[in-house]
Amino acid sequence: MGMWSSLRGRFSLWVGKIFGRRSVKIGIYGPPNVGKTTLANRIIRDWAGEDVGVVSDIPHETRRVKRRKDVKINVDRSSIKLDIVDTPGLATKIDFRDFLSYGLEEEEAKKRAKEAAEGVIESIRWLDDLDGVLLVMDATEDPYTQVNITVIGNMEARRLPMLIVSNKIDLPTASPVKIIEAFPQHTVVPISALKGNNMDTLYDGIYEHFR
Amino acid sequence: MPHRCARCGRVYEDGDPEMLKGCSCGGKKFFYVKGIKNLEDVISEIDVVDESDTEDEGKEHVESIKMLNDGSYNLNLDLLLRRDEIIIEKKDGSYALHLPSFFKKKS
Repeated sequence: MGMWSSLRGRFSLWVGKIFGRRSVKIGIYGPPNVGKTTLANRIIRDWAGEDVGVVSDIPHETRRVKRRKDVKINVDRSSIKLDIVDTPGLATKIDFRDFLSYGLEEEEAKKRAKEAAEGVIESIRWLDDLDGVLLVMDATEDPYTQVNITVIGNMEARRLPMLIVSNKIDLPTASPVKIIEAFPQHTVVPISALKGNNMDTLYDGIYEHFR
Repeated sequence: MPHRCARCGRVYEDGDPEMLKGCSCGGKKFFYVKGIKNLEDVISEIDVVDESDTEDEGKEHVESIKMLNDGSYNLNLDLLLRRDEIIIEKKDGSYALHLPSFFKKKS
């Protein structure tokens, strides 16, 4: 699966590059509440003037994959057309009790947990159809988590181009250096999707990694 | 420092009038108690071991999803990322195989 889909992806990217009309399909991945939908909204708002999804403080707000096609990003004198795929948060444990403290009723919390578990599977299914991944991490949290390490290992095995996005650098406790030191083999771009900080560097990185 | 009735175990704060009159159980002997804690405090200090995290040590995992209770799931991300097939372990220990995922056409 990994080698063949990787070769197919690279060939398809190459064809797209030659004829200059194919969109590059980029998935936004990461644990819950790291700002994936905020980032998707930021990119799409910057270049297409609209939002893709609802953002909230309650984990697992995005429980279905959302896709926005043909978002054209201009970098210097070039451009790249992206299909942005916003995915539900990846987690190793989903417990409805975690949602109760946000004011959800028990039944609603259980429904959310079930949908979140289905969302994890849907996120993973999408990996086969992507040309690249933006792996979003929360710069205020410890990056050495099971989710981050497992996802990075699998992306490397699939040879899927990946850019790590260290989000929430506007917060005083943010430490993007920790993420850079944790994954030195990958490019890490510190940003604040909420405030729009350092987005130009991210767009340059997207162009360089996924064109 | 609180006092405990030597007869019934009831606790009285220092200076409580009951200490002079005697306990409601009729007991008149009290002893000092060091650092009495509320039941809630004691309970909150107990380390609760999550059985779901310990019971499977050494067990070979075949399940990609484990249902712990209604609304609680353990997801084996590594297996989900590596294999298309989805195996669900139910809370009674039985397994459910998601057949469409087994017959998924390889691309």
